[in-house]
Amino acid sequence: MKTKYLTYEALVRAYSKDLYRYGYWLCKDANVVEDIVQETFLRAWRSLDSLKDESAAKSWLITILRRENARRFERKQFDLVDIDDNDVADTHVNSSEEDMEIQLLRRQIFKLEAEYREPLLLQVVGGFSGDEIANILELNRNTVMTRLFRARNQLKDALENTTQQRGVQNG
Amino acid sequence: MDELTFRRKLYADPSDNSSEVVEACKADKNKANFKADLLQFDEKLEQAFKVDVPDNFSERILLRQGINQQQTKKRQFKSHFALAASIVAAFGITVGVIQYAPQLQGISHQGIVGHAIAHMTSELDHIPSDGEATLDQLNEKLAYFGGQLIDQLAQIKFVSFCTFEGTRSLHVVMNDNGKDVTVFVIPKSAGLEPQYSAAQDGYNGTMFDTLNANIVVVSDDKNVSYNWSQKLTTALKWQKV
Repeated sequence: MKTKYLTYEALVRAYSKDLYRYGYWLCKDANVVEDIVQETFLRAWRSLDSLKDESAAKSWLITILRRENARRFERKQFDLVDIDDNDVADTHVNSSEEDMEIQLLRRQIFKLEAEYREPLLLQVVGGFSGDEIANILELNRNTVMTRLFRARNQLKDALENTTQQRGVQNG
Repeated sequence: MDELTFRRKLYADPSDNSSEVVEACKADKNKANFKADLLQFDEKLEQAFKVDVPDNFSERILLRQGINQQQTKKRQFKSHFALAASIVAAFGITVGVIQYAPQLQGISHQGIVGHAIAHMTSELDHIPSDGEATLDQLNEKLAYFGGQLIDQLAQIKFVSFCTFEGTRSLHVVMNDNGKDVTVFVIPKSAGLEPQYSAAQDGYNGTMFDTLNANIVVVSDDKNVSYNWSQKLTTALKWQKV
């Protein structure tokens, strides 16, 4: 029991931040992220014995988190909020050019469809390879690479448009 | 590799270091620049993805896990106890000694304050000693119960939802001149038996009831928990939920 708890504690300390961020971009609702991550770890605790390879821990936890998020959708169809109606992740008061760029980027990431946002998140933050992402998302590798291409393409386009618009307005 | 394939490949993975990409970059400066730009874009993406994580996030997860386990153990104990009790009761009936039955009830009985003290002592290890939360953070969670603390009475060390005998409740730790004061907000819908004070394991607890919730204050000093009950009675405002 003690060893199990130590393993569990190590997992929580090593991955809770990553999972929070993953949950944040996945469920688009800062209010429920904490609950989802909590539930993920509770489930992880219950099936900790099934984790044989510690190098697979992160993708294992992400898989649990994705299932947990999907369950939420099954349970609470009516509670969903359309993100376009709300300002998201914009609670920081930042003034520097770079911070503004990051805020702008965040807004564009939120606008991406989940099927593009998720593989991008796994690649950029999770550091997973195309094959690993394909595994987690249960897709084939080519589909993953195409979605990654489209994700970056859409983000770049959106950012260039915004910058141009700002240029016109300011000029 | 033609331009389009090259671009597609790098948009899908800017860190692609396959030999064909490396060769293409060596042969064409524009391609090398394109790759460098995308890598820079990825750094910004990474920054954008890395939103702030709430303070003490890991500790909060560990804490709730601890509480959960505690409850599972209690449930197991209760079910074992129930089984043992039924065997005894069956035996009692068979031999006609029915008067044991009333004594069996009430043995596992513990009031709301007793639960609170047990809950708190089992979680002591998980409360960060130097944690800090703001009044806003506390009020955000209190709102779930229809409550609001109108005055920050002391430093707030810890705020988290917890499961109190199966009901979502609030677990707050305050610092009163170096002494920890633990406050539980337990919705009345939990249906727990009110108990106005109790002492066990060197801790004292008092309970008072409000519009929506029972508030239990636990401290190692009877006067402190009593005083805090008084203070909180006036500083907490409620609206119907």
